[in-house]
Formats: sequence, structure tokens, C-alpha cells
Amino acid sequence: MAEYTLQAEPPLAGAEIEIAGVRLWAPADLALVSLALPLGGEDAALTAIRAAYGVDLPDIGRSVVADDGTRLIRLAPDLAFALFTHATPDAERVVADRLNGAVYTTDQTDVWVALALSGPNTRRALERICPLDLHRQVFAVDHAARTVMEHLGVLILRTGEDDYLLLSASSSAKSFLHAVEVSLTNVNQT
Amino acid sequence: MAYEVAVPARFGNAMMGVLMEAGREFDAVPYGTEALGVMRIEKGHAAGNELNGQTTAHNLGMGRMVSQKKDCIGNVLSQRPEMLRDDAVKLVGFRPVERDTGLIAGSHFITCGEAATMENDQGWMSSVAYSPSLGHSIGLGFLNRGDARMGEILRAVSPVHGREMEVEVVSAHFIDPDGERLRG
Repeated sequence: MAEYTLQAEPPLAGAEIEIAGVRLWAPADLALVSLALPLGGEDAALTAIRAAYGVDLPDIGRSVVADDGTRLIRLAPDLAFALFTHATPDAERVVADRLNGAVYTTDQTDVWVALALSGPNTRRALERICPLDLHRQVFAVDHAARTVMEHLGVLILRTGEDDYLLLSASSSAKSFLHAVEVSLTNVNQT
Repeated sequence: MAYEVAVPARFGNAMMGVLMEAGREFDAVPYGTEALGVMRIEKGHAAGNELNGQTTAHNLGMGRMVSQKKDCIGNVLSQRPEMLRDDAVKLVGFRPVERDTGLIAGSHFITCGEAATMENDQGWMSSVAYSPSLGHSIGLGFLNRGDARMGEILRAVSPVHGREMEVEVVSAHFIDPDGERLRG
């Protein structure tokens, strides 16, 4: 029997553009695992997260970066995402093992795509397609929110003063890249 | 016989490539749901049109697969007299007497010479397809005592289309009824 190897082909692999002082790229090997706190087991779940990552799960709409680089994003009272760099397709098992069964974990890695934006004009570019107020007094570093951009559902994170990470559905990955790219191009023309 | 293979989405395209490469020596080809729909009708394989909540294993000719030696969900209801009538509809195959005629799904079966009325209704055509293997239209349907009426010619009437045609009752297993191709 012949040996076969499967090569991963993420939908936006290799995407990297620089327009109007904004660098736009698709981070490689980004894994995403959802964390659901069991009903009645919330305290044990929060304790397990603290023990595994060395940080408390943040408030809703906030994120925190753990010592190992994992970003924990709180989306709802009982729901969070763990975002971390991990190349192999076993991200869920890695997180589940660390949390020792205290949290329901689901692999979301290939369900979403990520686009990172960085540079001084990033907020100007995003304000054209993002209906949220991204001013630093409202949407500060480490804030997170769900919104829509060009009708596509997006989870937006502010990862630095001029740095954002956008997560959207992988099924419409190329439309999403196109929408963000067009927004950057429009900034360049004004 | 079929398998479903699940891989993380990022490997989907690679998986397809590997399957085609590994299947080359067997002349493997990809096929879509339209081809799947045609092939399941050719094999007399019941699907949604036949499993519509109105039919039982008895109607599908699969009554013997429900063991009476142990209990199962639905077993009590399946033993009610109405569910075991001798004249219950049975899943059978149909082909047009005029082979170049396309069958119409939803047609109702009427004995030749009788009027197309509700009282004379003897069943309905649930699925039809053009069979590339046989070169003509084929259908699956439910007919009163259908399994005992092989070879009978009936009217298949579709008032919705204002059309009717003569059809012959045949086995629902149009292709490879003994499974020789499958196990060859």
C-alpha cells in the first residue's frame, strides 16, 4: 500500500498585502478552541482555566494573553475562545488535556479564518467596514467584540495600539479578505 | 457499501487528491448527489421519498429485518392489524411500457380500464430517474400488494400534469439484483 500524506491548505494561506501604511496578513497555524463552562460547574471551570493558563478568564468582551501566548477571549458568561499558535490538527485535545475535563472544549480552528492588521492607518481602514466605535477610549487594547463587516460575521480583537485581529467564517474566507482589502484600498485613495 | 471520511477542513482538498490517486487503479471517479440519487433508484434503495413517515418496514419489503424475538422502538405499533394488512402498499419498481416515455413522480396507479378516481387509487410513484445503465426512465413506488403483481401493466396517472402513461410493475432492484457487481 502506497503511503500518502495530506498537505494542509488553509483558505487564506500566504495572504499578505501592504496598502496605505497597513499590513494585512493571514497568520499561519492559528488554532482556535471554544471553551464552554458547564452549567453548575462554572467555579471548577474557572479554577481549571486559572491553573492551566496562569490567568483568570477575563470579563465578557475582553481578552487576556497567558504566559504561554494563548489569548483567552471571553464571549459570554459561559463561553470563551482560546486562540494560540499550533500547527497540528489536535488543538482541541491539547486544550482539553490542560483543562482536565472541567470545561467543554470544541475545535473551531478550521471553522474560522483570521486576518491580522497592523499599522498607523489600521483604524481608519477598519472604520469604513466595521460598525463599532474603535476609538481607544471605547475599544481599547485586548477588547473583543462580535460584529458584521460587509454582512459577514466577525469577531474583532484589538491586540495592540495599531494592531487588530479579525476572525470570520472560513466558508466565506476569500470574500472576507476581499472586503478588508477593498477597505484598505479606499483609505489609500482619500 | 459506502464510507464517509472526515478530516479537518484544511485537509479537504488534499484528501480528495489522495483518494483519487489511491483509486486510480480501480478507475475511481468522483460523483455528485444527482448521480447518487440515480444510482440509489437503480438499486431500489429507499430514501427520503420512500421514508416519509407514512411507510413502515412492512411497506418497504423489509419486515423480516425487524426481529420479533426481541423488542425495539416501534415494534408494538408495527404489529397492529392495520400495519400488517395483506393488501398493504409495497415498494416495487416501475418502467414505462413505451420505453422512451419519462415517468412522473407523484403519479397514482390505477388498474387499466378503471376510472382515475380516489376509490380506484392503488398507490403512488415516489421517485423517478432516467437510468443511463438501462437507457430508459425507471421509478420506485408503493402499490397495493405490489410484490405479488410483477409484470402487471397499470395506468400511472398524474392529474397535476394532465398526463398519464402505462407502466409495468417490476422488481425495485433494477441493476445488479444479486449484488455480483458489488462483490465481484
